[in-house]
Formats: sequence, C-alpha cells, structure tokens
Amino acid sequence: MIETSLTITLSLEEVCHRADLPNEVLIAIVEEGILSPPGQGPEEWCFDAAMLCIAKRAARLHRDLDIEWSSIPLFLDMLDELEQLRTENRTLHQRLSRFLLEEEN
Amino acid sequence: MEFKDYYKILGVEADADLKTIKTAYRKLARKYHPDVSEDKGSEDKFKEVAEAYAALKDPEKRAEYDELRKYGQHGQRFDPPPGWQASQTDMNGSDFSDFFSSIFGSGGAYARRGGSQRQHESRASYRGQDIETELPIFLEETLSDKSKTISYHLPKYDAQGRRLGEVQKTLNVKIPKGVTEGERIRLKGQGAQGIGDAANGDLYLHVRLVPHPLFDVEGHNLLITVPVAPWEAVIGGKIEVPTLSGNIHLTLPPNSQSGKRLRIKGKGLPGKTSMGDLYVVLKIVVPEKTDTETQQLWQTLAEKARFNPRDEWSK
Repeated sequence: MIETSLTITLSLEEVCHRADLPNEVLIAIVEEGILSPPGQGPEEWCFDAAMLCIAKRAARLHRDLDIEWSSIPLFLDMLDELEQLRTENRTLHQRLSRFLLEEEN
Repeated sequence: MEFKDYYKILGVEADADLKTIKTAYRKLARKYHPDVSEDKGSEDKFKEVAEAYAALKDPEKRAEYDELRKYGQHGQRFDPPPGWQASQTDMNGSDFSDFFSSIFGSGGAYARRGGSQRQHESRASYRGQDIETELPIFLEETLSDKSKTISYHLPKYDAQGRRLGEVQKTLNVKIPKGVTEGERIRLKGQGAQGIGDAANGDLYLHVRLVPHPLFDVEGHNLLITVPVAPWEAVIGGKIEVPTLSGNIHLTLPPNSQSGKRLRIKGKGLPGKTSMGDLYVVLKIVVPEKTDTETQQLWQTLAEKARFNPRDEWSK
C-alpha cells in the first residue's frame, strides 16, 4: 500500500523549481492575495499541493499564451473566478433539473 | 507514424510569414489551452497546436520541416526518408509526438520549459516530472477507508534522458478520509523517473466526485430531492428517505411547502473533523392519472379548502 498525503508543504524555492517559475513572480502572486501560504514572509511560506498547481498554471500561461509576468496574477484571479462560476452553474443546473420537467408540447 | 501538416494544423498557408503564424498560434492557443477551455478534447488539440508552432516559429526547424513536407501528406503514414538524421538529440523528455521527435529529436518539453536556464545545470541528472491524473471517486467511497486501484501512464527515459515512450503503472492507494471535490492527493516519488541520480517526480491525484443519480454535493453536505404527494405535504407523517448509508425514516411536518429543506444531521459526506449533513428538499408531485372517484374527491377538497395560492397577486 502506498502512503498518500493531503497535507504537503513546499517552500518557495521548491515550488518555483517544480513549476519552473521565477521567484519574484510567485512572490507577486502571493502579494496579490491569490495564494495565501501560511508563514511570515517568503522564507517561511508553506505551499500545499493546490498552490503548487496554481504556480504551474502561472508558468504555463506565460509560456503558452505569452502572457506577461506582470499580468499573471490578474489572469489567475480571473481564471479562478471563471472556474468557480462554471462549477456553480453546473451545480445549479443539476439541482434545477431535478425540479423541472421537460416541456411536453 | 503519421505525417502532420503543421500549416494545416495552424490554418495558415505554406508561405505564411512569422507574424501570421504567431497570430494563428495565439488564437488557437487561447481557444484550446487546457487552463482556459472546458472541453475534454482541448488538451490534445492544444498539444498539436503547440507542436506545430514550435516547428514553424524557428526558421531552421521550419526549413527542415519544409524539406520533409515534400514527402508526406497530413494524416497519412510517414517514414523519414533514408539517411534522415534528427537534428538535435541532446535534450530530454518531450510531450510532443513521435513525428516531431523523429525530425527534431526529443527536445520538446524541456526545451520549451525555459531550458536555457537549465542548460548550465548538469545535463546528466534532474528531478523527474510531476504527473497529475484525475481520480474519480464515488460518493459511497468517501465513507469507507478502502483502497482503490489506479493506473496511469509514465514517460520512460534512458540513462541519457532520451524519451523511450510510455509505461503503464498500477498502484493501490488509500483514499484519505474527508477528501473533497478538486482536492489533490500527493504520492511522493510516484511520478516520472528522475534522470541520473535525481529523485523521481511526484504523482498528484486530482479528486473528482462522480455525479450521483440521487445526491447533489454542496461542500460536505448532501442534497436529495424527495418527491412527496400533496396530501403527505399537508398532513405530514413519516417518509422513507435514502442516505448514502441506507434508508432512514424522516418525520415530515404538516403543511410542508414544496422546496422546503429539512436537515438530517451527520448523514452527509465525511469532513476532516466531522460529518456533513444531508438536506432533504421536498418536491410536491401529483399523480399522473386520477380516476373519476379521486377526481371527485379533489373537487370536493377544492370547494372546501378555499385556498387561493395566488392571493398575493390580486391585492
């Protein structure tokens, strides 16, 4: 049996290395409030798996869509909101469909 | 191996200038990028587009490709002409197609991933890629702590870091209690193999709760829409309601409205510390057919009850 873990902690350096992301960009993403790793200041920050995933996404957006590093926080923010709205929309649709009947005529 | 017409993939003419190619790429990339698009097939489509752009944006690569293009047609079987040498074979692992690697070597992914800053590092060793795969979980499975068998594909490399295709790997994993939609579970060292002495990458399982025919998920709470007869809603009483762990009896208060939510404590999904709740949402339904006698009874009721649900409107 393989050990699984939900609570993982990675340092700023580790996240940047794994995501191929410049340190200052990750710092900017945190300062913009998109990621909130616990810890006082960059040296103490602890990132989890979901945060690593967002860091990787930032690197992909820069690489694949030529998005300037300075615009990355705004982009992440908007993509996050888009995802939330899509999820909410799906959930509400599903719940509504349990109440509504197909029109017969 | 299949020939890929990179011009066709980007939707440009074979004599298009770099600016046109770049514009076409950006347009398609915005449409198919897996971080932006919701479509299932978009990731493969994006890879194809990125590969075409990687080949055509570089004048040297493009010249090589144009030379080869004389021998092949899109979608048809293709073998490089005898004596053809891949132009660079010194880079590591790529997620581009075999077709691309046969022309340009396997320099794709790492070269794209800011390879320039990496090149001064020792080429002989670096950490394996992290791999992410989706893990569909049935709602029932979140209750038990049984293990689940997963299988996924890993890229395989030789000692020099050249890609040798993919291998399938199967693991038995224990699902941590209280996982929720969208959460990521890490399996350390189960990602792609490290090159040289470097460590393996990790495997991330992205939890997806499979939609249930009866229950909807709201955080750790569950929702179930329960049909009730008009008289049940008015008179109240006990009704049987399914939960994830078997049926229970629920007391319906008299005069329950359609859409009313009743909470059943602790019958939701397990959270990290406590159980979520199950919400019963009432939906009043009427019989599809009624016989004459029942119709009469309704008629009598309509006269006696003197209830106008649209009272508000006439005020």
